[in-house]
Amino acid sequence: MTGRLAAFLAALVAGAVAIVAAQQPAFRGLGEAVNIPASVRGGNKPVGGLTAADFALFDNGVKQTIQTVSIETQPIDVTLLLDVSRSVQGTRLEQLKSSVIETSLLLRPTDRLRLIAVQHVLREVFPFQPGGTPPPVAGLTAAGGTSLYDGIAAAIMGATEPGRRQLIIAYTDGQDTISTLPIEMVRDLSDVSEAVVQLVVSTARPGGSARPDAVPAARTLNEFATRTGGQLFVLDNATAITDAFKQAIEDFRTSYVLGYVPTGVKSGGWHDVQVKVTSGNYEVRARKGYSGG
Amino acid sequence: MRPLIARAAIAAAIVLMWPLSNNTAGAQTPWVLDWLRAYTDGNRAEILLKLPTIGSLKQLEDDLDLILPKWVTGSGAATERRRRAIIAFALDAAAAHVDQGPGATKLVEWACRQIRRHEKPDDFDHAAQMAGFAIIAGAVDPDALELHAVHVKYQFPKEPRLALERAIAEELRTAAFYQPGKTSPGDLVKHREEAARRFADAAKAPDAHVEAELRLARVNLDLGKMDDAIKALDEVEPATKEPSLIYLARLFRGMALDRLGRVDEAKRSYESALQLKPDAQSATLALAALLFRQGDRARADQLARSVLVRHDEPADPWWEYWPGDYRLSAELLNGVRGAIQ
Repeated sequence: MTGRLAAFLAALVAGAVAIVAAQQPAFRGLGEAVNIPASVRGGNKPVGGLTAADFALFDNGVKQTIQTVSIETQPIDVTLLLDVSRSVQGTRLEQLKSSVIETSLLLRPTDRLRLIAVQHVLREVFPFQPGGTPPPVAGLTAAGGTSLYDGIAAAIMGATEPGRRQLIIAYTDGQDTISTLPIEMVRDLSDVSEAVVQLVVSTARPGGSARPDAVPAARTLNEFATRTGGQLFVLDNATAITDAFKQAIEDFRTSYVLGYVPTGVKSGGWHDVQVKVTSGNYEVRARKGYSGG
Repeated sequence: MRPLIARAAIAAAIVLMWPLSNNTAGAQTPWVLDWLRAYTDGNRAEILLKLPTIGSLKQLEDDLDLILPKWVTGSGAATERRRRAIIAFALDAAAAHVDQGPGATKLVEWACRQIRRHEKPDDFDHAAQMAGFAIIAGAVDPDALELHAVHVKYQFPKEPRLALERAIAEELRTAAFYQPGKTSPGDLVKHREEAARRFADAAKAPDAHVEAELRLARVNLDLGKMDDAIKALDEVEPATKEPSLIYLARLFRGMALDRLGRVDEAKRSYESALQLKPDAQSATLALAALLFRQGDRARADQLARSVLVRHDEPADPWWEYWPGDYRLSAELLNGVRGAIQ
């Protein structure tokens, strides 16, 4: 084999490794790549143009070599989980339907959107369909209790396709009332999944407080969402729902995916992950870690 | 002219007041008496369809208070029939509006007051009081449930479910949907521990043993006492043939085993629950979650999808768990109506 051919093949293999590392499900074990989503914002705007050299990533306190950094390159699959329990009957339900339609228009044709209605019973209103496709929400009704945690779990457990990033946006106007799975079990599922969960909660009445402490279980919900790399949005009126969905999608789309092969750490158990940007005063929100194989 | 106008006004007033003067009870809402008469005479199916349209339960309670003195007078079989009918009518109205919470429970307590006036409580009174428990549980009102238990004890001190109802009341105080955000984590633990004590006490009564042990197990799951939960569940399945209770026992056992890391046993427990109720969402998702964590993602996805793509609403005993006896309310109310002779 000539030197040039060998170099070419080596580059080909290195490139393939980078692509595969970005696409493979992570959290399997030592030697397998891990992908950590990380949102970087400065002045409440996404910061673009960063490279591997701009990040410092620590796995259980051990600094790692970031091998791939991707942003906005992969299409996204968005699962909208809407609380359509009895309490959202009337105007709020109509606002939610509008929010679904507007959310679909935020997505590119290569992205996909599906809707899961959350009452005590869960129901997929429509399966993944290309962004921009009019969503069939006219028949959506509100009734029953709220199995929010069960809904998030069902969304996390859905099969994923390589090369597509998973975003789950869950909306509720109250809190979970009747799920079988406690939030701790759903957290365990998210620890072995790459899905990012953004939670959107409306406080009880328009004009009510938008402070997180106005939301029952706010701390628990916030901890769960940020653990996956997402966040908790607390809204004080229903008209802000679409804005929250839009910000959740924008935040996800403009977040970096940092790929690395864990080195110098034991493979099993929970891995704490910390991500920093080495220069500039930016807010970094990244998945808090993963469960090793 | 003026005297003519005055006479016309008086005549108009007499015409308007005539129905009230002829009304034996003077109800402010005339249709209440009509409905009660029809209900008593046996047209119950028609009245049951109308009860959900009542606008104000408070107004209905006031109307029943106005009607009562002339409705139940004297003694004898006819009077006893009317007494039973007005009590059953109040209970049915409360049941039709159980989602109104305190409004419905106040109507149940109205019925309860009438029952407690009965000097010689009989089987009808007992049946009505038990139906009252079911309706109050459906209204998710633990304070009213405890108060009702105190009232029922007055006439039926040996009723075996009294301790169970008090325990269910305490358990309701730990439910996520009860006063969300108002119970501190510390108080939540105290309520759970108290509920566990009450269920352990209630389990001593043979008639309440199975359900008390089942609920004790679930509370122990919340308290993180998995071994205690399993021990309580060991009492359930051998002692009952009721599929819903067995399903819940298997579901809770699976959850306890899961959290103890005994995953193969947990899987078998969930699968055995699904043998009883193949479409139940609760055990399906619990099993899916376990498989997902174990790496069997294909099967987890299949199970999760089976939940999401159903077009009907499957029966799931877990959805009936929290409101205690409410799942029995239809049967209990049928029994109450049947006793109006």
